[in-house]
Amino acid sequence: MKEITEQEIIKTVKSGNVEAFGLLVEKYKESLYSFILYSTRNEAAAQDIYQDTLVKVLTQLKNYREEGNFKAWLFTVARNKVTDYFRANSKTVSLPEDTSADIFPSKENTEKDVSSKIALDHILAEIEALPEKDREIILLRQYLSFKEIAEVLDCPLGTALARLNRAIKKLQKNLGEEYAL
Amino acid sequence: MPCNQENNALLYAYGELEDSETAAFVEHLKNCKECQKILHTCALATASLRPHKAPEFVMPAQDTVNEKEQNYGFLGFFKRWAYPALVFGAFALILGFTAFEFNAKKPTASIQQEITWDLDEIDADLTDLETEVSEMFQYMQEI
Repeated sequence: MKEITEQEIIKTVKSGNVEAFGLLVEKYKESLYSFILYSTRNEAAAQDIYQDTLVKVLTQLKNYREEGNFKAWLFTVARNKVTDYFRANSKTVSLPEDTSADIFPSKENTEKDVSSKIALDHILAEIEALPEKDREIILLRQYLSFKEIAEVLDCPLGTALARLNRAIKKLQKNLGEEYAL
Repeated sequence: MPCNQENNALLYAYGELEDSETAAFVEHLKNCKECQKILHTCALATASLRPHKAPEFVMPAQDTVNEKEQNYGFLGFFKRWAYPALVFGAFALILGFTAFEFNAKKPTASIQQEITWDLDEIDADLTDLETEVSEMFQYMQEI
């Protein structure tokens, strides 16, 4: 059976079949929510922003140019929502020291898994401790290609690469010898 | 000293390096500690950012979507502002028409003419006063 393409789904939604939007949500829900969750470091806020992002994309889909990159647009909307959240709560939002353990409760039981989880949580905490711009570029690269990042950040591809290089170098330095090659 | 292949290291780490450049970069990687460190840190970052299960998306009602759609694009903009613009236009028209009517009824006379009219009125009043005073004297004489 022929698989429906993303552009076909968008056309269907634009023609009035709102239910077809669920297929797009299904495709990107995990990466989109993870990006918002890591960006906000607050589950309640992430859930609200996730819902708001998808509603905004759905309502503005009629104006979406089909030759554009849907995923980049989706993440641009999410990024703007995250920025709005921090701007609106600039005086009340205080970032916890280490949220990684709360966001990702462990399911592993073996000693090896526990130690590797602690290591990963430590790396995550170091990513979260990076300056906003460095943290953002690492998060974006986790879910988008460099071309898509350039579109989201509205910058040349070379700039996106340079920003990630700088961020990776800082992370490498902060992780120290313990995590060195 | 920084390596000039660092961008290629990032592209390779995330599987975006062109096939034509991959073989040469892999050869370079064997002897470049800097690029090896970049690849290692990228792998650590990727491993630590584990995916998270998304909550259920609550699809908004169809009419809510349609209502919101009306506020976007040229047509949406027109629909949104057409009614207030019509009310404002009608109000401005009434106000303009009233002002025009008021000005049309007002006599058009120069200040000089108006002064002349006022002096004539004063003259007439003085004449009336003189007549009244002389009549009063006549009456008093008769008495």
